[in-house]
Amino acid sequence: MTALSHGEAEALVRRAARGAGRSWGMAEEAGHAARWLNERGQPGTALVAGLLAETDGKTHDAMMLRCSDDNWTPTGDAICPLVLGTALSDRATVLPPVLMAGPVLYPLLLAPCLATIAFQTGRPQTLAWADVRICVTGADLCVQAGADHMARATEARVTLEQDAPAAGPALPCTPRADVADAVAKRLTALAARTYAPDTPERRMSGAGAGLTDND
Amino acid sequence: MDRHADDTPPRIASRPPETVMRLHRLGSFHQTRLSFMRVLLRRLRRESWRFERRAFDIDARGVGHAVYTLRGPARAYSLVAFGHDLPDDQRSDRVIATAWDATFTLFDGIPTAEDITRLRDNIPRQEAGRVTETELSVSRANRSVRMFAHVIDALAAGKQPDPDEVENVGYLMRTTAVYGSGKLGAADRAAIASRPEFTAPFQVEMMSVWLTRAFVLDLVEHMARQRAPDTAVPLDPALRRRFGIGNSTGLGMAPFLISHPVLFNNWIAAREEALARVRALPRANPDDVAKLRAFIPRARAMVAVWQSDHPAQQARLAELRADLELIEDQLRRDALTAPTPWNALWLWAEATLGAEGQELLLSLMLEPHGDLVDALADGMCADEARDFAIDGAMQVARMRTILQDVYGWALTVDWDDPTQQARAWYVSADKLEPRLGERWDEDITAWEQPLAPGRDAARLYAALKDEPGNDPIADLLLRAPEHRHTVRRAQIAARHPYAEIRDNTIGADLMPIDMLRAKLSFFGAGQFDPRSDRWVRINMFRGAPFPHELHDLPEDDWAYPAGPP
Repeated sequence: MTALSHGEAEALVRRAARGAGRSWGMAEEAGHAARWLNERGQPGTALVAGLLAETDGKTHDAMMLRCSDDNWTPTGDAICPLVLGTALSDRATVLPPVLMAGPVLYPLLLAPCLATIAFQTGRPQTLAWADVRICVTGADLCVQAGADHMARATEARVTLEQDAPAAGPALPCTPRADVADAVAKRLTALAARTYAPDTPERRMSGAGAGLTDND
Repeated sequence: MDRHADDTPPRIASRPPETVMRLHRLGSFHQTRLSFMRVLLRRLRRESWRFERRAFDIDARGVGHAVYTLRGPARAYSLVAFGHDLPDDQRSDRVIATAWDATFTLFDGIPTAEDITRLRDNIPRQEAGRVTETELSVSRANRSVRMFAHVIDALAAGKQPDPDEVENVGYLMRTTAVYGSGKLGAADRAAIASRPEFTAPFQVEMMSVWLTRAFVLDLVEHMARQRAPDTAVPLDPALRRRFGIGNSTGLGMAPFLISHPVLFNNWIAAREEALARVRALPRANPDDVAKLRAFIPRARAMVAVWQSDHPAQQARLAELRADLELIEDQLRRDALTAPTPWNALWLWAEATLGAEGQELLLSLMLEPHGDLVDALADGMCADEARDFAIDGAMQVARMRTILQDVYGWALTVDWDDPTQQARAWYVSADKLEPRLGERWDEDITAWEQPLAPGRDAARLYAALKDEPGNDPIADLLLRAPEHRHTVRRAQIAARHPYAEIRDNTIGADLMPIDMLRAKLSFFGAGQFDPRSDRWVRINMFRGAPFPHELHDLPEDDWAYPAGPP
């Protein structure tokens, strides 16, 4: 287990998401989502690692959704939570009072995008799946039910409510992102796909200086 | 008869981004009162911070550790320094180096013996080690071998070093990286951003470098004493202040300006607002005019010692020296007694001087006006998380307008012309060193980093060409997530006018040092010496008081060399 700073965890996840084939914009969303959850003591890094392992190399279309009225369904087997989360937050001001979506992978990864919706609309967002119920405001993740296992769900159908009253204690902030070594290793391997292999030519010309500095 | 005419001068607008956000101009910036080094020292002096050298356990070779502590009204911070014995053939300023002459961390508080033990195991390894949230920054420095030897030899023999050599080189050690903001496990920016002493940008890094400078000067005096205890002398205080900390800056700093658009906007906006406030003054206070005149010979002295071996920089220095003479002539002609005289001077500069001269005049014009502009430093930080969210309801027509306004220059570039995409930014697997490659000569496109906002804006514009104007941008983003990054940038740029550099950042004629110099000028660096088009040596805190004498010397008067006696 390593204690990463939040900045380090976010950067690692962003690079890993890019390495797994996501566009830079979606990679940024992945890093941001992991960080938001990490800051509230949830294993955001591990959740994204799991998601990327499952969707590594998948095309956007395979993880996509059809938005129709109040029931959003996958075009493939399941919706990617980053795709669903951004689709929801991009439509923050026009969401129906109750929306069902799914199946979606790693549903807790939706919470950060719900914070955006809450901030933009002024309305807390209540998300439920199985026996889990969370409420997200602009800054807080509040858990009404299922706190001890909400991070374990790998796939679920979710319900998003616009006007349910906010309830449940807000999870406290933590200063570090604890990451299991196996998770860090998987993410580092994916991130490494974004680095160009070193060659003598690249080493000499790419950075503009020689190899020793004595002046 | 209009009795109100000319009572209130018109409000002067800040310069438009089309003028300011060009690489050639950004690469002409000079330090100003709003530079982060100066912001730091003004605060430390104003709040009477106390300095204490708590430990100096260094042998005759310079090996060991030291602790340099600053105590403020609420908190204390300590530079923990480690000296090493580095063989010459291992000395490298590159990110890929693995050993250094000295390594450092800025500790949040006063370190215990256990902390020192832990840090001794990690700090000398730099990227190969780990730190915790009690460490605010991690850095390293290498000697100027020639200068180090010269100074120790002189002091040991009871003499002062050659002042011309000191002016020529200007530092004994140079930092090759100063990592803050959560890197290597250090405290995140968010954890300390609400502390008043760290509200302004890069205060941790500047504090670390200022204390490093104190350590380095103590170190050479110590090594001279160790060598020749009977004859060694300390440096003369005024000469001692002529040593700054050098810095060797490469490409790693350039992407920062692109990756932090809101922050960069806030730096530029503060600087432009400062200029606008001075220009808007209805009259020039004669004391302020005298102060400006007094800075001219000091600026000339600064520019005179500014050397470079690089042809492009030499040409710009020649232009700058010529412009400085024109400024001097103009100030002889213009007593600045007419209404809005600072604005008249500025408009003259825009019509007469090159970018280097204009930006130097900007710095000079701010000097007498601390009361008017210093508080703008409080607005130079950014909470970037606030600008992350995309407004998916924005209509396509609005996005097209933003793209035309902000990236209009990019929409007329022929991106299929190979010279326009001649370069690609990438990260090397070797220690994650940022590099700039030649796209058509090297096989690097697969690893290209998103540092070409102009090109990407042109692609987005093309994708929107046939979309209905009142569709929400959310629809495009769902179908084509490859544009999400650019949509986010464009929405940021619509809210923050100085967020985007309005030039091609991957073209054949890109000079990355323009980006390095812009950032370094905000740090407060003087004396830019490009070693290539992507590698620059600078000097930090040169002329500044040392911690032990901060309260004894005039406030914030060190950025320019002392004038002629």
